[in-house]
Amino acid sequence: MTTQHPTQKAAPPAVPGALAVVGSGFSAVDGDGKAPRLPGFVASPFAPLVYDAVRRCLGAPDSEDSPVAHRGERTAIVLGSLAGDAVTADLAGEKVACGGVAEPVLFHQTVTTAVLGVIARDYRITGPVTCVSAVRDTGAALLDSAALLLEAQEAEQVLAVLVELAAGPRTLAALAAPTADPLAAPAPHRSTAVALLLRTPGDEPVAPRVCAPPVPATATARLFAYAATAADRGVR
Amino acid sequence: MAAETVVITGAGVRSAFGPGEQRLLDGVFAGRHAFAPVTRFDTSRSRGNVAALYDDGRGQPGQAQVLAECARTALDTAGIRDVSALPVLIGTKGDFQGVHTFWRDTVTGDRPDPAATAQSLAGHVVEELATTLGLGRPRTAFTNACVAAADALAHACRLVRTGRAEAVLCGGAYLVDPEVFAKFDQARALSSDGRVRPFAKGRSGLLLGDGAAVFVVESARRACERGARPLAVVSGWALTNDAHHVVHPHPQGAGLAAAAEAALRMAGADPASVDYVNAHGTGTPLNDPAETKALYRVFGERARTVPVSSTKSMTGHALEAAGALEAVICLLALREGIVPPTAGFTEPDPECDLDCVPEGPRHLDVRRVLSLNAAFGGVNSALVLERP
Repeated sequence: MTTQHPTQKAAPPAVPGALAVVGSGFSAVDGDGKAPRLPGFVASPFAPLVYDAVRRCLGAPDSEDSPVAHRGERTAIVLGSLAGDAVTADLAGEKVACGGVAEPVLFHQTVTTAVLGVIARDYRITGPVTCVSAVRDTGAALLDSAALLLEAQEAEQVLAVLVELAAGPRTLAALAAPTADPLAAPAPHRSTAVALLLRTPGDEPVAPRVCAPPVPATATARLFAYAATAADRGVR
Repeated sequence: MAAETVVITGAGVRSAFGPGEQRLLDGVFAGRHAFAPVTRFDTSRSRGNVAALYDDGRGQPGQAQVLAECARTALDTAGIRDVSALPVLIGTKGDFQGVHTFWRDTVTGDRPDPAATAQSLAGHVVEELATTLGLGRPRTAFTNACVAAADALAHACRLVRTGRAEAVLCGGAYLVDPEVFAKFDQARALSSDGRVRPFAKGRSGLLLGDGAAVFVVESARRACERGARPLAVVSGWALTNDAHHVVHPHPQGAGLAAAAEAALRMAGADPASVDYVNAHGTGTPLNDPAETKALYRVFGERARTVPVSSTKSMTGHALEAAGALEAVICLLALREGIVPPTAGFTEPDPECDLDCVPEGPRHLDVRRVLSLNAAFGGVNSALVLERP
C-alpha cells in the first residue's frame, strides 16, 4: 500500500520537454483489495484513490507549505481516465437492469467532477477544472491539456491526476470489442491513481522533472510510471 | 507570435426538435418546449416520465452516429473537405445506453452487443466519430459533466489561439438513456410537473433532453484565406471552480461570476456590451438563485435588465452536450437578431430578479452574447460569442 513521500530524491526520467513536475503522489488499492476511504463516497475506490493521490502530492489541505496554498486561483485541475468510475456506473447499471433502483448516493459520485469538487474545496483551488479521456493514451491527453492551460496562461500550475480502476466485465468487453481501436490502451489490471503538480520549467524553485507534450504513449506511460514507482520508493 | 483570433465557421446540431438548426429555430425561438412522456424506454418504475426526446421512428441512434451527422453539416457549412488533420474534441461521458444494454443482456443471459458496449466508454465515442469521418488527432473526450462541451470548445479555441492547430472539430453529445434517467429520477432532481420553469417561483427541477452539436473552430486568418464566412467570433472563454461543495453551487455564484468575468476580460469586453446571456438555468431550487447572484456580481444593477434566458426550459438539459447545444442557440441569436425566451415561466421569484424574457422571443440587435454552464463539483464555464 502507499507510503508517505516527503521529498524528491530520485532522478527524473529522460524525457525532453516543457513541463516541470514539482510534486507527485500515488495511491492504489492494496493486495487485500482495500482502498483509502473518503467520506461521502461509497462502493468504488475511484474518488478515494484520486483524493489520496492528491493529498500525497500536495500535502495536507490546511498546510501552509502546500504548493497550492495562496495559489488556488491560478491552479488548474485536469483529471484523465479511460473508463472513469466504471465501478459506480456498473453498480448502478446492474441494479437498474435487475429491476431495482440506483441509490441516490450513486448519483453524484458517477460524475467525475464530484471528487474534484471536494479537492477544490479542501485545497481552495478555484482555477479551471477539466476531465479528459482518450482510447489510445489518456495520459498524453491529460498532459497535453495541462501544457495548453499553462501555455495559454490560464493557469500557473496544473494538478494532473491519472486514475484507472481495475477493469470489470463491461470495461473488458468494451476494450475487446471487434470495433475497438487495435492500438487502444490495454485494460487496467490494478486500481491506481497518480497525481502530478506541473508547472512551466523555470517557474518553480525546485529541480524539475521534465516531459514534453505532446508525447508518445511510451513517454507518457514512463512519466506516470516513474511517479508511481517513485512514490513506492518513498519519494515524492 | 500574436494570438490568433478564433472563429466558428461551421456548425451542425440535433436537438429534441429534430436534426438541423431550422428545427431548433422553429422550436426554441418560438418559445415551444419539446417535453413529452418518454417512450424510448420503460419508465414505469420511475417517479417521472417526461423528457425532451427526438425519435424519428428509426430506432435510437448512438451518440457517435448523431455526432457524425452534425459533423458533416458543420464541415459542409465551413467548406472543409480534407479533414485528415483535424483534431476532434467532444464532450461526452460515453454512450450510457451501452451500460444499460450490457447489464440488461448480462442479467438475462444474452450476449451483450460488443459495439454498443464499446461505445459506453467516452473515448470510444470520439474514436468512432473520428474513424467514420477520417479525422485526425488528437481524439479526446471531455468528461467533465455539464461543462464538458463548453470545455471542448474552449480547448479547441486555445489550440487555435496559441497556433497549435489551425482548425479543430469540437462539440458534445448526450442522448437520453434509461441509465442516467434513473439516476436523476432517484435523486429527485427531475421536475415534478413535467415542465422546466427556470427562475420562476415554485420551480421544482430539471428535465433531460437530447442534444448534440459540432463546430468547426479555426483562426480568422485561415478562414479569410479560405474565403470561409465566420458564423461567430469566440472572443473569450473561461473555466473556474467554486471550491465550495461536491454538488451544490456556491450560494453567491462566486465561481460562475469569476468565469464570466474572466471570459469577458479575455474578450476585452465591458459587461455593459453584452446583449444577451444564455444562462445555465437548470430550474432547480439551488442553481437559479446562485446564478442570479453571479449575474448581479458581473453586471451590477444591469443584471435586472439584460436579457437572460434559459433555453433548457425548451430543449431540456443535455448534460455533457449542453454547452454545445446552447452555443448553437447563441449563434442563431446573433444571426437572427432574436433573443429566445425562458418558457414555462409562471410566478416571479424575488431571489431570481432577472429579465428572463418570459413573454416570448424578443427581436433585438444581438452583437455579443455570454453563454454560461455549471456542473457538479462546482465547475463553471463561460463563453463569449460575437457577431463577426
